[in-house]
Amino acid sequence: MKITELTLGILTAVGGFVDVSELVFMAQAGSRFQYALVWVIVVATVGMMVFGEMSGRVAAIAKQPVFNMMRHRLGLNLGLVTLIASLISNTITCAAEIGGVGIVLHLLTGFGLVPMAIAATFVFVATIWLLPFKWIERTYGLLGLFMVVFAVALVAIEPPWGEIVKGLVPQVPAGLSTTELLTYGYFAVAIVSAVMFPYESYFYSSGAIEEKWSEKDLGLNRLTTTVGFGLGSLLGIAILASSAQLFGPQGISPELPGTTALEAAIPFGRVGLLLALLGMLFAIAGAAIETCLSNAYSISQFFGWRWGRHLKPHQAPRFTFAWLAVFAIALAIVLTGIEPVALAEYAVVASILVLPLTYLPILLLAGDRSYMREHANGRIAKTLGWAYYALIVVAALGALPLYLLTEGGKL
Amino acid sequence: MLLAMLLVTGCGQASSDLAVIKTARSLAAERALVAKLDEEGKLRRAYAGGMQRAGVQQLLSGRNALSQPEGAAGQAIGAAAAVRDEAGALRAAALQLARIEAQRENH
Repeated sequence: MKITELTLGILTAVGGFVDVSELVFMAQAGSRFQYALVWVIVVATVGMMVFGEMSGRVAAIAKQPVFNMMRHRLGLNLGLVTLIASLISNTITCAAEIGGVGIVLHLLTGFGLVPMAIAATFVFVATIWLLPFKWIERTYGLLGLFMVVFAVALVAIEPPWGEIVKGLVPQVPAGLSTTELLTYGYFAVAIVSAVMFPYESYFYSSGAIEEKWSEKDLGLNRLTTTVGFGLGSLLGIAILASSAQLFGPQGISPELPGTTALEAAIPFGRVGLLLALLGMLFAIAGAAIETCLSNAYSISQFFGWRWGRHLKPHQAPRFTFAWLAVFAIALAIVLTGIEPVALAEYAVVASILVLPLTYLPILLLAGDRSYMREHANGRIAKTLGWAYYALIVVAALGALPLYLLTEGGKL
Repeated sequence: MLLAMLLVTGCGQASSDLAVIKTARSLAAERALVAKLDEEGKLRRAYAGGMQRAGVQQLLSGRNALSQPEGAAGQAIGAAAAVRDEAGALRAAALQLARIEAQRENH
């Protein structure tokens, strides 16, 4: 395996890890509960590593994308329910990302949010139309590395490192009222959902098939999912910790997505602000493209259509129509005027409901020796896989009640 | 799920108003921080202007979402929206909203 290939793969995973929901929830979680939710990011990231590695391995060995498996493993009816639920949650997520890009461009240029959201959507369409898969992934992933400024900014403000380390221990903060406890629970579930978004698995495994992964790519798969996702989650922790330090004491629970960029502006001024906004722009833009393509992959794989960016648009017309339609619907949602932060909240709740159905077929197939041969799940992968499956089922059951009881974490 | 729905229905408008007030308090504090950093020359013009406009817009829509937009909370939110981009005045508006929030929470 080439070192350059490996490094690029890891860097792409780091830069592409954060999206608008994480920006919103990490910053709000830090300001509301200081460092008490750091452990949730770590737990969720390990879960994403476990299922990401499995979906990449299944794609490399069994050559099966997620929705193909879903139809065979869950049956047509349950598979169809999962497909519809995934399409809804991914489209809401895509709308949140487009709205987020519109806001960041508005803050960078001063032009209106709506024209910026429309322009961004056209750029996304052109990107997918013109660039091969690898370049789409790498362009946005690598440019998303501007987000590293958040980690540097955290070091610059000299946070209480001891408190952050204490946050790694699973805990429920003492002295919270019942409402605050429920809100803490809501943020825990929202962070799990935002880190383990189902579209990430759809996109990752479909990408592995696009790039024709085989047994020799298993090492790259393991390193990308562990090192890449691990380093990516450090950005999430940095955003949370800076927010705890800078926003919490001032009574700010960031309601405006642009507020997160202040974490870099406070120590580094205009340069920090610019880097933070550019990082946010490319990270969110990458997520917009991933969510859109995920929907096109899902629907094409489920119905057995020709799919993939390795084909010219006219060679896979239904796949092409699908991703164009997703962008059109997502943009229409943004144009209704719903706040992108509200869309991000709906997206995390909708996504966590879909997670158990998404990960069950991956877990079953990754453990099936008739498909995976000697690469089937071993004892550790099996234990971790089922433990995380139990966790996401509990999170899925709790998500809607917690959302309603806390008014989306506002109480 | 049923329990959650019942609790939500039972809590009703009071908790919705509290959520609006909490959001407004944060928005006023966000505007104050943006104004302060802008005064220190740490922000770009497009960013500071865009953040202030978005803050005002959300404060106004929050006020309209209250059960009594003309009540004390509505007036405080309206006042926070009316303040120009001046850090001290915005901080004072945020503090006023924090006081109203504390009163509602203690009820």
